[in-house]
Amino acid sequence: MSCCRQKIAMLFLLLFITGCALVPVEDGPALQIGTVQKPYEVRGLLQQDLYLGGVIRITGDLFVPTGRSLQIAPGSHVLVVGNDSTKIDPEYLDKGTEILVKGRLIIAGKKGLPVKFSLDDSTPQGENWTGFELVAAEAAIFNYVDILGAEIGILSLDSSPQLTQVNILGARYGILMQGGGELVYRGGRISSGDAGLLCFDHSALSLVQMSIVDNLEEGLYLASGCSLQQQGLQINRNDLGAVASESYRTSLQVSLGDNRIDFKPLPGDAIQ
Amino acid sequence: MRTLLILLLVFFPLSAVALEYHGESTIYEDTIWQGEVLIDGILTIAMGATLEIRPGTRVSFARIDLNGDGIGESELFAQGRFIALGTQDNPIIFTSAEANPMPGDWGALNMMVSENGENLLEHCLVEYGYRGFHSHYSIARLSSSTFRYNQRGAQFQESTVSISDCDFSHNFNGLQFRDSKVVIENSRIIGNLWGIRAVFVELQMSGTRVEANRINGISLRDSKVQLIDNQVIDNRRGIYLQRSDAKITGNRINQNREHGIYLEDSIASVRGNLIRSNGRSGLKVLAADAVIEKNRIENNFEFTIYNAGDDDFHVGPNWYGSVSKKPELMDGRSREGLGLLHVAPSLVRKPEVNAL
Repeated sequence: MSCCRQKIAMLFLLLFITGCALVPVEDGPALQIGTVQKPYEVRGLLQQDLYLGGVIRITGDLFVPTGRSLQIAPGSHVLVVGNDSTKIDPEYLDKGTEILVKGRLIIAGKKGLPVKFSLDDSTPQGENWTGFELVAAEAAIFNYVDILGAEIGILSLDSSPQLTQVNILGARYGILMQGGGELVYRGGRISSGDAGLLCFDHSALSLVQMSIVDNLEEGLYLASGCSLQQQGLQINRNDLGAVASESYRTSLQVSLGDNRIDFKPLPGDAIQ
Repeated sequence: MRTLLILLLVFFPLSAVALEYHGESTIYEDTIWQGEVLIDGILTIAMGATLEIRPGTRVSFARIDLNGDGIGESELFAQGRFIALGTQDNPIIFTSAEANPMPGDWGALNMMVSENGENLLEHCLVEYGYRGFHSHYSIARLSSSTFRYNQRGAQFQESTVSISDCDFSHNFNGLQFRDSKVVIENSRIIGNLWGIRAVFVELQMSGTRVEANRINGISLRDSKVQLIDNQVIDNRRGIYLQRSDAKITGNRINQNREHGIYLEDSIASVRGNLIRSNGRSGLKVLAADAVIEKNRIENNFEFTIYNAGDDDFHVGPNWYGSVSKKPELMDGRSREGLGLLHVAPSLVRKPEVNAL
């Protein structure tokens, strides 16, 4: 009897696992899984919606156009192959390997099953990868993601990325917000890069329980057209902690510590 | 007179109305276009033939995307000579045939190994292409023309291109080129993501506005460049040079979000410029060898000059806003491992800057 129960339980488990792998998510595409031995390789223009998991290799510029979606399953490891910096095509915005998103990007890591983006071992010495470029993206959701060694972790042009428990480590710029849009960043850190989070133009930032630490240049740059709501924000051990309008000095005071200069005010006629 | 007209029509086929080319087709003899032209495929102008397009002609490209890469495939491919001379009142238009046009609806005006005489675009409007103008191993002169709403306003390689009085505006990228010799005069490169991006080129640029490009205004690598009397305003980085040799004189480099000028591993002469109100620094250097003098470097928000390299860097006499105003420096005095900045005393008088 117990043998039958075990068999039934195994059957349910098998059906459950198989179902997880093959049933489309929210009527979306089926999950495609790569392995260490045979990573799922992708590059170029996304011609259909993709839902990827396991080990994924991005072997060249990747473009998610308007109307298409790229979803990445929990626990995935995405290896990005850096390039030799001399190509021109397709090269959307940068010489490095880039992930350009105008459509929908959903990186669905979970607690204990984060999604990791890092350089592939085949990258020529001294090269890196560009990072995520969101250009008026329809959606950009990063849940439990580690972004390692990108030129710009996330460049957002007129986009509204939502980040939960995201670590951006060793990027030249952690996040660049340009144009409009709203950044919601809950948990995680931007660390060990050149600059942390730079906001130009007129974006809105909502930073909750996250930290910007150990960057060589600024932690937070807030141009006068940007706005900031923060709770539990920590900006520590950067060169300039925060560069912002004088009006932010008081509200940021509790967040700032151990930077070479904690707060540097922008001049009165600073650009928007 | 009648005989002359017949002869003209025999030797120069002239299309007055609704000329259409479908699929892959080739023009083998000298041809003149006037009126409406539809290209629904790839049209080649064979080596030895010349296509002349008259003022007021409208050339429309149908959107075909057989390989599903999001880029329209209808295009014009000139191996012979291409002459499109519009007038101010009757420009020539190259556009999408779609009712709701989008950047990338069609391929490009391609000049391929077209070096027997200049290819000419004058008083033209080029819009909704993947690459508005595109060339390899060709000679071209673009003047008084507008390139807008393309994925790339112009892209060329191994070419000699002269650009004057042109607008490159609201393309995804403005101008992108490599291994070419280029002159840009009195033009406007405005509202693109990248303004100018080039590698391995010789560029002379003067009297040009490079404004509101959201990545870099001017970005050059492994190049030789003269930038004289331009306005480089409101981009993210103003001028970014890597491994290049530059003469930068008389420019206004203002209100860029990051650095006015960023010299990385480059040799440069930077004289007589106004470098003002840039968001991070006026001038950033990294392993550069440059003469920096007689500039007005004023009111840059974080630093006047930033030495990001580990070698010391010398700065000549400049004007920092007043005789007594000291430049704000970032160097090895502030961060261990960086080289020092050695800055000459300020000029006693504000220098003139040409680009107005």
